[in-house]
Parts: sequence; structure tokens; C-alpha cells
Amino acid sequence: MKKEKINGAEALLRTIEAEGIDTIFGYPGGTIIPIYDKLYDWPGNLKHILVRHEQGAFHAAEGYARSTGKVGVCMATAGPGATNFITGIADAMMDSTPVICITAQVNADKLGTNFFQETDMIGITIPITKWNRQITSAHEIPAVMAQAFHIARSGRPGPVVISLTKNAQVEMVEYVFNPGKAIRELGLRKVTSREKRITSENIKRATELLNSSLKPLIIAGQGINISLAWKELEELAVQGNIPVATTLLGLGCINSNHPLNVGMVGMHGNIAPNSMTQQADVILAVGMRFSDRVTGDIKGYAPRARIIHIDIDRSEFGKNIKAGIKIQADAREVLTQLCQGIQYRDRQEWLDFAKEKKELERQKIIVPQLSKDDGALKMAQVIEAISRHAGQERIIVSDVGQNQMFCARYSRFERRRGWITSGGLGTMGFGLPAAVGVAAGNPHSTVIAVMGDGGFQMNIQELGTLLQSGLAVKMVLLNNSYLGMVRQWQDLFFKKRYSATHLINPDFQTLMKAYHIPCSQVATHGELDEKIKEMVTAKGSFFLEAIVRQEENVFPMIPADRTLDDIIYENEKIHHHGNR
Amino acid sequence: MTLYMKTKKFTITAIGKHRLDILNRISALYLQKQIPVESIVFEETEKGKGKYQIVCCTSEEDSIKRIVNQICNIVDISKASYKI
Repeated sequence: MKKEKINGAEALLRTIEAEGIDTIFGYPGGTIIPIYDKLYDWPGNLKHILVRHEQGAFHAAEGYARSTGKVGVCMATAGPGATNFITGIADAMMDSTPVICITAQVNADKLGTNFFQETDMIGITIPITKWNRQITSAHEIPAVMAQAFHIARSGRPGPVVISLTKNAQVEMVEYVFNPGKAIRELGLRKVTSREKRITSENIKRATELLNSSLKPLIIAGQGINISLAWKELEELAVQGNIPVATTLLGLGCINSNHPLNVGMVGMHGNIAPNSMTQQADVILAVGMRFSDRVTGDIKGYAPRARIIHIDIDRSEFGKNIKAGIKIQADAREVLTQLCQGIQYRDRQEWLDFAKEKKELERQKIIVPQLSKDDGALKMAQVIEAISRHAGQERIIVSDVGQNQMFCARYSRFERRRGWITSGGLGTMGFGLPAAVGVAAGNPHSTVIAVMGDGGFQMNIQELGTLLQSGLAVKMVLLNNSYLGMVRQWQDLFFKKRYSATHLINPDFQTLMKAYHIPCSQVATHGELDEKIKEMVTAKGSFFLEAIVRQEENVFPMIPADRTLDDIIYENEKIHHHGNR
Repeated sequence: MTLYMKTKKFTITAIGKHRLDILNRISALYLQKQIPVESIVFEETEKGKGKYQIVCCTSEEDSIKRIVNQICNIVDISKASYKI
């Protein structure tokens, strides 16, 4: 390997480029100037997107990672620059997103002296990172970065924080990049032959159980997307004639219009999969973690089902729901093996049950939510119109709240990695910066960010990133002048005491003009299609503000303390679905 | 009426590298579950590697099982187990 002397900053950038990264999202500051100095006339392919807040950089890196399958990279200066990453790091940890977060740090000999802008990023991020390291000397950089990338992307992906002291950025080092050696030095645990045998036996048991099942249900989560197991999932479902439900993050891992796709499980999920969970005799849970949003009250969850749980992370087994068969392995590998033994079985009665529940939902909820009754626009109508007019290559990015739930329920997902949202942490303000990252990683796709007026304003400064970078994001603001989801809970459970949920907003149209972003407003369903088409066909970024009715609720809903049998589909009435 | 649950002494043993941050990562898992740690000790068994032993008293054996699984996810830990 050729050795040459370069400084730590250059070693860092060379290593990032060698790992196949072409974009870094960041914000400079005093302690990280040496790295930015090297970037100024960087000869390679590495591109830097300047954001307007470090949190924006992290979410952009997440959007980039989730939509491309690569590792996202972001960087910032020490102190407050670094601590502004915390929300994003926690978000990536919850949703298993691979991100390398580089934060500058004071000189190594000043650590622990409360030096200007010194914060202990290693200590602070221990509970919310997969791994973190303080680099205090330039010679550590190539090996530690190789290890960081490997850890971020392998197994269950997650965020890694690298804190790089200022002296390490400027010291000279003989640059040698040997990622294989660095990864071997980690001494990572290998799967033993005993574990492989147990996995093999469990896959055989799972196959037999599925083949003998009358009412099986596959629940597919984010693990399918991480493992690239889309084809294998569909093959298993078709071969075995087994219906598939997805979690929020699993949406899109099977096409929305696939005949075996029964919908989304969870608190605001579809009636069919939630009801089927309660009736199923076997549940095959793949790459999902039985989040409380999915299970409701765990005491009443899936009372008749034997559960097969496939996950790369053994700490998920039994954490919330106990499984009869646990398979710790990559989802794609397991599904491939399951496909070898799965047999077709006629389950017409079970599939008819799904159809019956779908029809019930269509009549009780979907038709009213899409109906053009008194002219005031509804959120579901806006989302449905986007699905009709935006091409198949669209990528939908949502913020958090009612906008997210309507997006999940009414979008049609027809491509892989076409749905990006903040699931486990539910970070408001995720939408706009994540969409920036998605646009950076997918220049040929139409990127549509759907946001509420609350979440949009949390990282509204990233409009400046769009202006400066020229990246194209179509923004759809569902403006109801409320923190909609919180208001919904106040409506349903706190007697409409709307404490601190009403928003008095600025004139968003004027704001867009200040950012030189073309914009439009729609307030009636009569002009909706035309406005959506205008947005989708516009060159570059576009902002469409949809003035929607203020007190609209997302239904169906399973209240937090209830089981999946207890579904609300209108205010104040719980509809018990316990018996067929 | 409160149900009395008998507390037991659990010792988790984890084998791994001797690194600065591992003690913090392990104790953070107990903190998350609000289980007070009585002692946490590292003993070097070979150069740069050794065993971590963490002792606590709790009635929540399920929580201890979860902690063991999460300790196994720590990058520099090769295995972990518990005994009562």
C-alpha cells in the first residue's frame, strides 16, 4: 500500500471517499475549520451540502441513507454544533439508520478542562449510538473510520459518532487505508456452527408451522428494507398464499396494490391487519420489533397466534412479545430458506375475512375521508391526489403527526425505498431536512415532502439549504393551524381542552417568495388536482400550501391503553372487533 | 395492596475488550431500566481483554435477561450471561 504524508483532515476525507460516499451534510465552526479548509478545493468527488442547522444536517444524512442504502455522513463543529446532533442520533438509533456523525473536539491536551465549546460527545451519546470513538491523534483516523463505517452499516444498522480533536485534524500522518485489517482488529463475534445449526432447525420448524396454519399473517417491518428482502418476501407470500401486513416503516416493502397486501398494522393502521392479528393462528414477524404502536396493550396482543420472530438483533426477542420460534439472522437469508419449503395452501376464508374488513374500512372511514362534501379540503384528499399525479419514481418523505398518518394510509407505494419517515422517535421537523438528503441521493426521482405546519416550522431554516444547494424538493404543507395529532388526543381524551396546540402562522406564501421558491396555495378540492399537477411538473423546488379543515381526526385509531380489538373509527365510540 | 416480589442478587458476566467506554455502556443499560448497580468490576484475563462483572439486586429477572441481550450488542463484547 502506497504511503504518503497528509494531515488528519485530508486523511478523514480520503477515507470517507474510499468508503463510497459522495455527499456530506454539514455546518462549519471554529474547531472543524481544518476539515473545511481541505474541502474548499477538494479534487475528488466528495460534495458538501451546507445546511442551516446541525439537526438539519443529521436528518439530511438520514434521508440520504434510508433512500439510497448507503451510509449517511454529517459533520459539525464542537460544543453546540455537536450537541445539535443529539435528536438526530436518537432518531437514527430508533429507526436503525446507518449514519456516521463526525463532530470536532477541542485539542486532546485540553480535554476535561471545560475549554471553549468542549462537550463530552462520547459520554452524552453512549445510550443512543451503536458505537462511538474519540480520535485524539491523526494516525488513528483511517482505521477508526473504516471500523465506524463497518459498524454503522452491518448487522442492525445504526448511528456512529466520531469525535475528532482539533490537533488530530492538523497533525501529519503517513496515510495507509487498510479497511480489512481494521475490521479484523475489531474482533467481532462470528456466528458459531452451533448457532447456524439452531437457526437451520428453527427455519424448518417455522416452515412446518406456516404450512400447517389456517390463518397465517406475515408482518413485515423495516428489516425487509435493510436486508433488501423485497423479492423474497413477495415470493414467500405468493408461494404460501399468506397475507402480508406491514409496520409504518415497512410500508412499500410490498406494493400497495399487491393482492396479498392487507395493509398497515398499528395505532392508526388498517382494520384488516389489526383484526387479522387478533385472529391469526401463526404470525411470521420479519424485521419488526413489536413496537407499542403496533401491539397496543400487549396483554391482549395476538391471543391465538404462535409467533415466529425473525430479526438480526437478538435483543428484540422477548423484549415486548414472546415468540415461540426465534430466528436471529438476516431476513433475506431466512426468507430464501423458508421459500424452499413453503407450500401453497388454499386460505380463501381467511383472505375473505381480510376483504370483509377492508370493505368495512372503505365504507366507514375511507369514503367519508375522501368525500367532497362541503368543499373544505381534507388531508386524505391531498395525499390521495399526490399518489395519482406523482410518477412511480416518487419518494414520499413525511414529517410527524396527522400528516404522517394520512400519508401512510393514503399513499400508494410502488417502489422500494419510496417512503421515508421518522418512526420510533417520531421527530417533528424531520420531514424537510430528510427530504433534502433524499433529493441529494436521488437526483432523478421526484421527492415530495409532506408536512404539517408545526413540524415544517421546526426545521424551516432548511429552506435556505434548498435555496443554496439547488436541490429539488416538492413541499406539501397540510396547514390546519394546529399541532394536529396532539389536538386530536385533546379532542378524544381531554374534552377538547386545546392547550397550546393552536398555531398562529406566518404568511407561508410570502416566506417562500423570500426564499425564491415557487409556491401556490389550494383550499378547495375543486382546484386540488390542478395544483398538485402544477407542483409535480414544476422544475426544481415547489411549495404547495393546502389549507385543510382544522379539526380533522385520523381514524381508525386504537387508543394507547387498548388492545387491537378496540378500534375507534369516529369520536367517542370504541368498536370491538373481538369476534367475527 | 402491593404484591411483594422477592429481590434476588444477579451477577452478569461479560467477556470483551478492555475499553474506556464499555463500563459506561453497561451501566447505561441498568440506568435505562432503573436498576441500581451494587458493583461493577473489570478483571483482565489477557492483554487488552477480560471480564466485566456487574452485581445488582432486583426482582425483575426479565429485565436482567434483556440487559444481557443488549450487552451482547456492545461491539467490543463477545459474550454475556447471568447467574443468580
